[in-house]
Amino acid sequence: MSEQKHYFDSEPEHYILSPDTEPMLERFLFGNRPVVLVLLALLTALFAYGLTKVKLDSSIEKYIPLNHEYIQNYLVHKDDMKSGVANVKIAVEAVNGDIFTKDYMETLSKINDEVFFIPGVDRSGMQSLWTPNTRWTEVTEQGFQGGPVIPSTYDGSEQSLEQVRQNVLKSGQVGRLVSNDFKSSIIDVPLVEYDPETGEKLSYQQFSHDLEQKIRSQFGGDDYRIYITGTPKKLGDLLDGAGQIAFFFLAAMIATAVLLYLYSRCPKGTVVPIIASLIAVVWQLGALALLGFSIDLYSVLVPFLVFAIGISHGVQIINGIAIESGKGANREQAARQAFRGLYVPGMLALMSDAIGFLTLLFIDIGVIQELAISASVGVAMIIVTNLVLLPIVMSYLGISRSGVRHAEKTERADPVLWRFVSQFANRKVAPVPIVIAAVMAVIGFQVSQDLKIGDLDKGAPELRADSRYNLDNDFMVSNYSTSSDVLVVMVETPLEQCNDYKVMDAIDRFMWHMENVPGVQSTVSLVSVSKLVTKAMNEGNLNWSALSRNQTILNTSIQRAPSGLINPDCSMAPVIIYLNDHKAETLETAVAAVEEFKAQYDDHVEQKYFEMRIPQIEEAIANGEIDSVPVRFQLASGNAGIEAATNQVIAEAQHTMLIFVYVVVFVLCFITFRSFTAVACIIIPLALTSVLSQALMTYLGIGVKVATLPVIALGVGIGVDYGIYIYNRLEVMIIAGKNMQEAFLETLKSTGKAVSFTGITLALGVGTWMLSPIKFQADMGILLTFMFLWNMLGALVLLPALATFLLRPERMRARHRARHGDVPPAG
Amino acid sequence: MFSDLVQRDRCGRYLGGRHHGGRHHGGRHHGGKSRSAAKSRSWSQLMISLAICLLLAPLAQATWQDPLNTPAMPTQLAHKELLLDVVRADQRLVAVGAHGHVIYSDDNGRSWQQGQVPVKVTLTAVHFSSGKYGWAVGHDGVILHTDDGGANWIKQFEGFRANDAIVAAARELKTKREAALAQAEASGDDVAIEEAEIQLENATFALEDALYDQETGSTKPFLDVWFYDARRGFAVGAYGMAFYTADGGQTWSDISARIPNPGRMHLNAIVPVGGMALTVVGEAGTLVRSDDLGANWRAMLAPYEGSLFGLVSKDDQQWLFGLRGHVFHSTDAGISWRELSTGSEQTLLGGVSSADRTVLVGNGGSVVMLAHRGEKIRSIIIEGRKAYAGVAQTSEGGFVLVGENGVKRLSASGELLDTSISMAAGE
Repeated sequence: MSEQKHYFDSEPEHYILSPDTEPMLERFLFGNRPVVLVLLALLTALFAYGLTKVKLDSSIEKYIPLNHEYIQNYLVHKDDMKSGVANVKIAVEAVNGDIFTKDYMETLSKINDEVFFIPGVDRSGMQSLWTPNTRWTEVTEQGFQGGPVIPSTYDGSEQSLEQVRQNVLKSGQVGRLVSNDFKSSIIDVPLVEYDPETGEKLSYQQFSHDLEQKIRSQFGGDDYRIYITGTPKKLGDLLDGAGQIAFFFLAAMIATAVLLYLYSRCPKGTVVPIIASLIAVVWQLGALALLGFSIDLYSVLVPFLVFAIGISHGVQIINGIAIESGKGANREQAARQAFRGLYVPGMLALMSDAIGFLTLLFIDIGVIQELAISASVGVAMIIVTNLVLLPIVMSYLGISRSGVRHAEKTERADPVLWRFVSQFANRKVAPVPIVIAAVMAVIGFQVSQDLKIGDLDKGAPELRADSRYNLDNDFMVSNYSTSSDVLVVMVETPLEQCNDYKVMDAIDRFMWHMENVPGVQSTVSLVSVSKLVTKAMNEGNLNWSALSRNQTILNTSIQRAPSGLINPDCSMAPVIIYLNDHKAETLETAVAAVEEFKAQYDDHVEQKYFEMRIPQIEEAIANGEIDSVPVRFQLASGNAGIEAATNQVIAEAQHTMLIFVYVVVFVLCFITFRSFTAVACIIIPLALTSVLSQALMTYLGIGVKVATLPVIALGVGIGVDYGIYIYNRLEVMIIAGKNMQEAFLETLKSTGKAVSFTGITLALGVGTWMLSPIKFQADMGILLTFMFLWNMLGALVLLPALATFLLRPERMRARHRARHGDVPPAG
Repeated sequence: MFSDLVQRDRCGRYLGGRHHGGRHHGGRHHGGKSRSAAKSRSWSQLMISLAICLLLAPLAQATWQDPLNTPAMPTQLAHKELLLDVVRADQRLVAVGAHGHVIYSDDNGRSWQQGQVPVKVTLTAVHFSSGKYGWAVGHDGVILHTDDGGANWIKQFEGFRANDAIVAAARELKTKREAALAQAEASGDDVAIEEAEIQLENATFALEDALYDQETGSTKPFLDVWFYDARRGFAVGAYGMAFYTADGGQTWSDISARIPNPGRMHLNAIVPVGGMALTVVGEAGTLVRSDDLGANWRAMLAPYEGSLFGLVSKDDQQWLFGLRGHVFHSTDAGISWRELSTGSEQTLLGGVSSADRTVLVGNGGSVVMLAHRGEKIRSIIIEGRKAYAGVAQTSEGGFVLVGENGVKRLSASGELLDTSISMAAGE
């Protein structure tokens, strides 16, 4: 190995690139400060322009694992099943009495008319007691008889109300349009996705606001209560909730500014890191907008993270400059010294973050992948804004006198807290945290064995259990014979063959098979309609409630089947399976039961047979190529089907992702520090945090889901920063010749102080998410807060304890001498 | 690879479980040929080919089997699913319904067990000639038999065989009618000729329909079954289908030609009305009677043109019931009728008579209780308004109802007993 050149009077102990390139970088940056500043200003202007292109994306597809087999199957039939998705149900409850009063009917009629004129409503498809498509039928000696539930002769009198009551009973709408207790009724409102006049896409948010203003506030009150459910309403509520993130951001920023001033006692040292971090946010948002990315409910959180991580590194730099200034360096030297001492740990930490976030790409779900990209880009921006821009700006501005004095004071001071904490680097005390950590790891691991995949709460999991939407949903579920958790299996056949007797019989078996599965409430399909109509055609005699082998009867029986139960060319008939809930176990049981049935009943013939027309099929059967009309049961659609697919993707990805995050952190740390013991000191506390956060999730009943899986990667990525900074400083102090405890005490006074400051500040910042009306943002807030705090504790307590036993100070000093001679390490 | 394909193809044919179908007149062939081919092969041949198939070619084929060859799935939910008839055989209650369910209870309907049934078609009616010997009928012309009180069942008859028999009988009838027409023409009696022409026309239509069913594999449901003793019994059903056995169900013969039913109306129920007398009720006021255990039948004048779904007979009293809550009472063994006002417009589908009252059940949760002495009528609606199709009296004097949502229990006076009803795990 050739003799290393020494460029400065101090130098980084380690290099990420090489001993020559990094000093060159420093010389270039600090030698051409105006040029660098102008370049960065231009970039900022460019990205600020990009901010104007930021747009909010409310497409549902990004939230589901598009490449999962189930979703692929669903997408084939997406258009056929659209009707059920964009649908809102409005229940009007009579608080006192039942629906058979003049006043209730009048109110319902008014609401019905009001809803009719809300933009986006598919007027022809609307159904309520007042719409003409709600009819009653009965079998008489002469055949069928029927009419609208509210007769044309309705006049609000007792007799006509009694007539309505009788008609409702005959209509079979109890449990559907009319609640089981007759205290409320539903207005079923299908939506058109595109405005037929303007061709514009319907804004769910606007529609949701219309419902609130025109329906709920106008008609809801002491006498009548309004309940609204349906995916469009849920999305509207979510988008409203996302808007509140801006307030959280503002609150977090103000809190950070105040804490930062208290910490640095320097106005410049407060404002510059905040501005640098905001510039990172601008860069991140602008760059992604320019690249064509849009913001969704997850990536809206990234600016938070970028800001928080930016502050965390900015504080380290400001801290370093203050210390160097205290030693008597001038502005430029202080900034340069701080840069030299911190850019290696800073770079290392940020690269770990960025690459750690990229491991989220393993999860094949649009929002998570975009989260991975935007968080990585954001963190990469911080390398420039907070490790380059910040020290260069500070080299002009300098730390104010009050800030320098404060830094000197705290460095000289001998606070009891740091004295106490430094005990953890004492060989006698160190076993205590190690043993405690080991015990916690074991217990945490045990607890986390019960960690569940998926959403564990009922109702819409995206929103809180006590949110308006979920309360409304509870009302619907408990008063109507419906479940909000629906698994749809698509039964595929060749064209025009969905009503083949064999196919219908297979569906019949499938339904009964599924109804026998625990967690399944009921099933509905074309077969239900066929049996019902066959019975009705035979004078309502229950004996006829069966499938007919007579194709003519079979065809007649499904002639008027709702479009949601058969596609237009009769090549697909969905089976709708109502589940008790959408807990992971329920979904797994149901999906496993479907797979079991598939294994027995699916015809594994080539795709071409499914694309054949009737004559070709008959020919193929005649030739003996196939035995009968092929049929296959395809998973899955419905909210439960999509969730089952999501759970599978997450279950598969979660371990891969965790392993890769740790591999990335390990490799980067090892390349930099070239020491297994160093890497162990940094990674073991992180691993403990990972285990404990999983135990916390188990304890709090938070499942591993789209929202919480990224937190695991984010937590590791951000947590590693603390360990790297602490270790880096500790190493410098050890090389300076101090014993372990003294070295750690010195580390605590400078870096340790910055680490604990950032840990608490960041925890406060993400802690505000816990107030979010959106459940998954709140869950992320809880977990991130825990991870920030616990990683901080790990770096301040467990890391030194491990270092006490693992590090060999003599060997470290020897290696330093061999490599750097007498040049002291920077930092 | 090739041999694989060949093997696969042969498997389908040998096993005969899959039907080569084609579209015809909007209907479907239902491989009568492949079935008879399989039948003609010996057992051992079948077993060998089965073994080869299992070894060689399982992947390409699904194992959809005809519902008539698919055993009912073991379930613990049959007591909550559609049930269409319930009877008492000694102390035991036996109920039948959807998916080939037969369930029985030895504790008056509190807990139930599932019988072993070789088909999964919907069963519509059940009858026991004694505590041990019973028959159940249902869709796809199926007739099942048990000789152990309902625990195990074998298939005696099915719709494809019924179709063959109906075609044969229709041919015979047509020949007879042709002869009758020839005879009438020979006699030159215009009225007789016109009558014979109409008769022949009906017989021709009947044969055409029978041939269509046979060709397309359409089947008809049996709607009721009754046995006089362990050998002689009747099964009646849709479109005038009627079969008789004199050997305990080993062979069944088409007797529809004996029953005056020119419109081939559905025959909904067959009921003994004392001694060797039988009454069959059906669609559109169909009411026929035999006094010699089915050898000869005559049409009776029905008091109502709507459909009749059943008849309950107790000594010389009879209650006839049907569409839209119509109930007719006779105190002279069915000669004259008087309509009773039940206060319900719900169609009544099933009934039973106890020592002092008759209970009728039907759509919309309606239960009508009629006192034998006096005119007291009680109409109740069972919560949930589900349809009920059958009712039986328990040995305790209460009633067990079956219908759309399975089993319900009523006290002797008609109160709904909310004691839990359970079902043991199937084997």
